[in-house]
Amino acid sequence: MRRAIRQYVQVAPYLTLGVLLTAVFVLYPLVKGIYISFFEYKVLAPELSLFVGFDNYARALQDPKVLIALRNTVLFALVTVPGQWLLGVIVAMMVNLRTIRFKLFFRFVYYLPVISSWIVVSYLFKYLFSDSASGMVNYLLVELIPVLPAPVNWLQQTWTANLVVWVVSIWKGIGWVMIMYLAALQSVPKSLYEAASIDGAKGVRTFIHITLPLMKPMTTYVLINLIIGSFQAFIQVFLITEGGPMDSTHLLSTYMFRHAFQFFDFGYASAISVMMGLMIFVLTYSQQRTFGKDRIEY
Amino acid sequence: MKARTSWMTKSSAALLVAVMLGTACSSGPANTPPPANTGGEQGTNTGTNKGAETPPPEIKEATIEFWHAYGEGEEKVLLEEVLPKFKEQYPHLTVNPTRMPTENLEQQVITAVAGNVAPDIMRMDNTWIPKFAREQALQPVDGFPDFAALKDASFEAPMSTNYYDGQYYGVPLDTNTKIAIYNKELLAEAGATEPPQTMEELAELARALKQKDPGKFGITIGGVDAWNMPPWFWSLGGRITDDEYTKASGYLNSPESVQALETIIGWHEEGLLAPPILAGQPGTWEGLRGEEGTPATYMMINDGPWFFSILGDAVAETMIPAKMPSGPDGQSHSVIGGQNLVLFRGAKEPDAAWQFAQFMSSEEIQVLMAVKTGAIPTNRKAAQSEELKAIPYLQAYVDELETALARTPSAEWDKISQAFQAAFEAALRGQATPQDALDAAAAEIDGYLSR
Repeated sequence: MRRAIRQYVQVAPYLTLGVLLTAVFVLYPLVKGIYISFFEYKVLAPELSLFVGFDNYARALQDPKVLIALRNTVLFALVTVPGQWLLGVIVAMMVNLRTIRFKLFFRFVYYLPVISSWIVVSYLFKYLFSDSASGMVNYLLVELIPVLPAPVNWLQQTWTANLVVWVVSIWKGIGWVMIMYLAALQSVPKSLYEAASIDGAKGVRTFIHITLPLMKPMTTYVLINLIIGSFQAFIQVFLITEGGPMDSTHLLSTYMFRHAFQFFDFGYASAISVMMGLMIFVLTYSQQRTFGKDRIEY
Repeated sequence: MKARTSWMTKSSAALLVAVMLGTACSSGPANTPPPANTGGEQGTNTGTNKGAETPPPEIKEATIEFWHAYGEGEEKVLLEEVLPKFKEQYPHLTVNPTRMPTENLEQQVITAVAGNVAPDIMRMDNTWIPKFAREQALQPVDGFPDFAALKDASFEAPMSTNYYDGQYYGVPLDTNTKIAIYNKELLAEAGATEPPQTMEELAELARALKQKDPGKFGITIGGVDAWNMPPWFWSLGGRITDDEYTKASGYLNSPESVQALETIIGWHEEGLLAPPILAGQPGTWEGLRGEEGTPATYMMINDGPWFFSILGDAVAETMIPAKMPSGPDGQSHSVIGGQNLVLFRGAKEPDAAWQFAQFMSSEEIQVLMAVKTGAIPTNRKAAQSEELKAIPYLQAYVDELETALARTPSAEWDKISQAFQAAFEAALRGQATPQDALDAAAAEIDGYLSR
């Protein structure tokens, strides 16, 4: 017992720092955010804030634009999570093939988008998909490979604008999934594949029956992170579509930001973000509970 | 746990800073009125001395933090001519100017105010004043010495944009409006030598141009937002609210307003409107002037004096500045823009900042800025100055200002303008009838105005 206390005292300074940082930068804002959501909050003169109970929440539930933002947020997750995952796995498998040379080069190329700035990438895509015939993508699809009869106003229609946002998000996320799986693939013993090949299994079948099951912990980890990441998406919409046309491409995050920092309606924005937080919590809680428990022993 | 906290961290980091510092400073100097802000001094100062010209009796050294978002050319004039003149008149005062990016400027200001690092004085868009005043970020200026004189020397409309809840929160610095700018060549191609006087004439010219070359557009509306649309909507007879800005129902959705919107939609369906109406390319300036390798395709645009002051000689010969074509009431009604100087509540040198504000709104400086940058004076005398008459394009703007209308002064302006934009966009995209779109927007705006 005494030893335990002594040990605790020894590590206390290191723990304190972490606890303190968490308290200041995580717990306090969390509590304060919930607190603010019950007020018509004045950020510059908090003493003048009005307590409004659940009004902000009631308002959010009746706001048709919140529904649209929610729809977009959910769709964003449904499209970009499988998209990033599938393409990331495929790329990882291909880069991992024994016949592929210059592995380092490919790894670098696919990882480059991940380390690029969101801001740069967003503006890049905004220009690639700009309207009229002078847009790069329009030029490509109308002039070079004529699959489209006329230039598309990509960012001026709800679904094409959403498509652009999805494409940039998937493109930027593939590299991360690839790196995670490449790391996991290193740990699979070669003997398993050798045994499988003796049994006559090849290519896709080894992948489905050996690789994927062995990757399960990694898959859970990657998927949870992708889901969380998809709910955090912000910059791409904020910069590329700005929520338009007609507020039809807002995500909950960008819609919340607009209310907080453009309308200074911090109470309402906090209410939206609290609801968003609850949603993420519910979505990932069950996965997190099992996560880490299933260890694979070779 | 990481999942839940990490988004919170992000979304609340700014809040945290704002909240912590906000509470810290609210008990500090922020709430105490500046020394000059007492009633007695005001009476003795007005009329007895000439204020701006004579420095105050006690000479106290001070550095004034000044934020602005002047363009490059304007900043050059500020640094090389205006500030040296100020130093000459007030040797004990130093101005430390900071040019802020226009992107996310509001957010930067509110963060700075919450963190108690706001400047003493700032040049800010005049539609922002009610909102920042409501948020307690600004200090009223009507108690400063010689305020009444400054108010009398200024044009009423720009001055009124500083008014919120019974007090003035700033002084006008410059004003502007948007007029019609024609490309001479395309105007000739449409069959005219002079700019059209009425909206019907303009539409006729646009039709003629379309017939000659379907790739060319006679009318350019820069967008459906509440800055680009009002000059057209108002000139065609539409209104957003009553004259006292208390109500939108019965005004924004009146038969005249619906008619105005229907006219614009009619033009759009005829193909007379250039792509920028729905954010298409090329942009207004590029379309009007032609880009590298491509000829001009827009016959006219609606824009401010900066078009001429920025482009200078490049457009002096090829473009014609003209009043907006008039609508059903025989007049045109463009939109008033402009910038004001505001003092922040947490200003460390409010008195010195006020002297700087007085200096900036003085006749001499207003004329200087007008001549060098095309900023239209808010000082009555400066606007009448002979030197201004030498600037060829300025007269059209001054004329247009006479019938121009202000945007609804309200702390909820952002939401009002969103509602306005949504209605026009929905109607133009054919997702709602003009009547339905304007009915909905009017009801929504009524709610904001009643707060």
